[in-house]
Amino acid sequence: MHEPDPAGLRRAIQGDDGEFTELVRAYQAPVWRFLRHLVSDAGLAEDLTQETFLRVYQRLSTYRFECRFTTWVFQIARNAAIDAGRSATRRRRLETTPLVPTPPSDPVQRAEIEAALASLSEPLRAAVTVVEVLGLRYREAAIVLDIPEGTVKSRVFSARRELARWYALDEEETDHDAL
Amino acid sequence: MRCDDVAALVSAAFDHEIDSEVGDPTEIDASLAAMAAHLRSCDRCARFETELRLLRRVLRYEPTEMVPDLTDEILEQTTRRSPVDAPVRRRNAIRRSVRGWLVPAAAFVVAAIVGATATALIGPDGGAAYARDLPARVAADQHHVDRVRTRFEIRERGWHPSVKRRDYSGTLAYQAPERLVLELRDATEYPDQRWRPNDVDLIVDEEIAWTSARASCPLESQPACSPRRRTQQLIGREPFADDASAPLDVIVPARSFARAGPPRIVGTRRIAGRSALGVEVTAAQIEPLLDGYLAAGNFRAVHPTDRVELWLDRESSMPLSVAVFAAGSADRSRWATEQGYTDSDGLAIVEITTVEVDERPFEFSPPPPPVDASVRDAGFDRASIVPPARFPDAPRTTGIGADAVVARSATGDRLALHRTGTVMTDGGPTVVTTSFSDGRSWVKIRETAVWSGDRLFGDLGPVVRRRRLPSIGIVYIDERGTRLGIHGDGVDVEVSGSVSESELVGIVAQLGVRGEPVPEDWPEAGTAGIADARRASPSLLTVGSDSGFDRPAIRVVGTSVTLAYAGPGARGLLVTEVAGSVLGPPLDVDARSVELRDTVARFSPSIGTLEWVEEATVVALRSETLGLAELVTVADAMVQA
Repeated sequence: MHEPDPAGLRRAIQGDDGEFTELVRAYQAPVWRFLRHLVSDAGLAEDLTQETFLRVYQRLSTYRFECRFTTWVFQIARNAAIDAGRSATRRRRLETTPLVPTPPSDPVQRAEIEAALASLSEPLRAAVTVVEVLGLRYREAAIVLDIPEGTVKSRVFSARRELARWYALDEEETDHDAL
Repeated sequence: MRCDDVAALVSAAFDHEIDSEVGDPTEIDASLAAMAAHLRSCDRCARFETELRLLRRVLRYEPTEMVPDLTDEILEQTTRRSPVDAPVRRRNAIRRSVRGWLVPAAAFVVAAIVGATATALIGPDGGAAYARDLPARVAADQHHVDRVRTRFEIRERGWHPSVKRRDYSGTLAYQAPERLVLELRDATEYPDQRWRPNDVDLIVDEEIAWTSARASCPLESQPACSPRRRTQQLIGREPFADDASAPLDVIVPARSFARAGPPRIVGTRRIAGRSALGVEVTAAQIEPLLDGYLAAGNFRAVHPTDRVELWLDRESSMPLSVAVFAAGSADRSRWATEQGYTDSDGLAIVEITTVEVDERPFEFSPPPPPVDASVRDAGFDRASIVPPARFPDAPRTTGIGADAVVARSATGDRLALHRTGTVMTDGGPTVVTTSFSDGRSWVKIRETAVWSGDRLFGDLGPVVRRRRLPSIGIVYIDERGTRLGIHGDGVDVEVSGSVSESELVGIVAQLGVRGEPVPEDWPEAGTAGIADARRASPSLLTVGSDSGFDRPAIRVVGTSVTLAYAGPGARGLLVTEVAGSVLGPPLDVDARSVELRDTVARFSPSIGTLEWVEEATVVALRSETLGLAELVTVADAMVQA
């Protein structure tokens, strides 16, 4: 994921509202997508996106370039989601027959995958969302999720196994990795 | 390896997280090799890998639901209010206009669309329309670039077993049409001092060009084989010379997208602060682009079928990012083994990423070459005045000059006169060269009145097309449509350029030269049209029009027909059809049978040839840039002419 221009970021930190506006325009869409997958609710994702950038605006003077800016922003977004009380315990399974893999533009397949993503436990869903949707490296995902890098790796793998099982032609029980 | 272990390794490798692990690189390589072997034999694990690719495509790259534009609401809560804690106004209390909705977005950041920016977005069709227009857009954008400077980084993997990864930082400065400075600095930490940094300097400044780099040499001879950098300088360089050419595809990849069909769109993202569109192509297609960065110096090779994700600036079509991934075919693996590489399927072997783009005016000041440069004179003598009649004794007037020839781009822009002059080489004819340019686009006219060669003047290649045009006569065209040759009465002319074939024909029409057929003993005399080819081979097969290749150049000798097909970049295919009922003896110990067209064909990987017998004709498809799978696809789709 692209980092903002350092000079513009510094100006935003120093109070340049024009530069902050550019940051909002550049990153509000991926933040929404991240939250959309995290909380599985488009409306709540909108509220949390606004909350995220409000917090970014309020805390921008505390950003010290100790990590990537995008990592810092997604960390704030994740914490906003946690604070909103959306830790997932729900789990549901569609009563549909697994579909044969079809070309990627199939909206039915996309809906299946989105539903499968929503059915994951919150820790797995967060990990695979950060890595798969946002494209962050494990090291960066660990910062966003506030977990060890090795845990990111195992949760991403477990999430992928779960997601693959949704549309695999044969289903078999496997042991879950410890969360 | 157990399936669970393989699946975990596949998952980590898919995220390119294997080489970041702490561990013995040899053990990592062994694990990857064992994983690859397991995938080849285990359908379940191979299906898991396929499912990961599908997941990636759906979740990261494909358009999704409408992404709301919350910019106004966010700014209302922040910059437009005093910076105090304020509750987020819930959505039900906020009235959004339809204007505030973004069209479906890919997973990466969408370019800023608020305001008057006219950047086109990928629409609900997933970018199909954008993909169709992309080749034309790239061709047009070559006229619009004037100057640019960039900083970029290169990461290279698998160059040598002892050096898993190499990292470079680079700068590029370009001033249209052919002034370019590309400097690479090797930042790799090598095992010991025997390994020398692979720094590269590539400078083109109109009549002068020089490169300073270490020579590439076989892997098993490293590091001893390239102890010092060598500098080679060319002076008297003619405009847009084939040798010591400026790698203009790193500015706008016009050659890489000429004759290209719609590429597969992978998404949008921001790179170096610019909105970029990602497309999936092959290394063969963007060979002119890759060569711009990697041709000089001691770099690893890439296979023509390697998959490439190419990200183009949406405003200028400038390449902002290139990622080359090792393809997974058996022939690619065989090639890698022969080269000494241990690439795993999908490994990112070369990544070129722009980190900064600067389009502000600057003074182009290339560094001077080292004093120990070996110098070669190409013999071009620049003339400031181009007389309208250069050969007063010739039975015609060429009239080639700034006013006589109006070179226009497809958009109607006039190409300005660039460098003109003469090339005189020992034992060679005097060649008058006139060039025109508009941005990065260019046209060059070379003419001579004393051609005594035994083939067509100009470097059109062995197989050409022939067209008979009103007011022009016979024009010969190379298989890529980038060079035209005219054999006239007392004059021979070559016209070449980065513009389309039709634009080059338009320029030829203005020269006042009548093209005649070449002599019978010239190889181009065998040039034929499709009707001639059908007479020579009644069951003639041709490549389908939707195969991604342009119409072929055809040569007929007796009952043997050769069709040369050119695709974008370096992609190409040669088809030969000869009367016969059996294949000749195999020339490749690794030749194997392949089923196609209701028969059994033979594929010889060492010469890239697929051949079979059909209706008393031996048909052979040969390519250095297409793999077996693609050759079979092309062969299955061939139709009778």
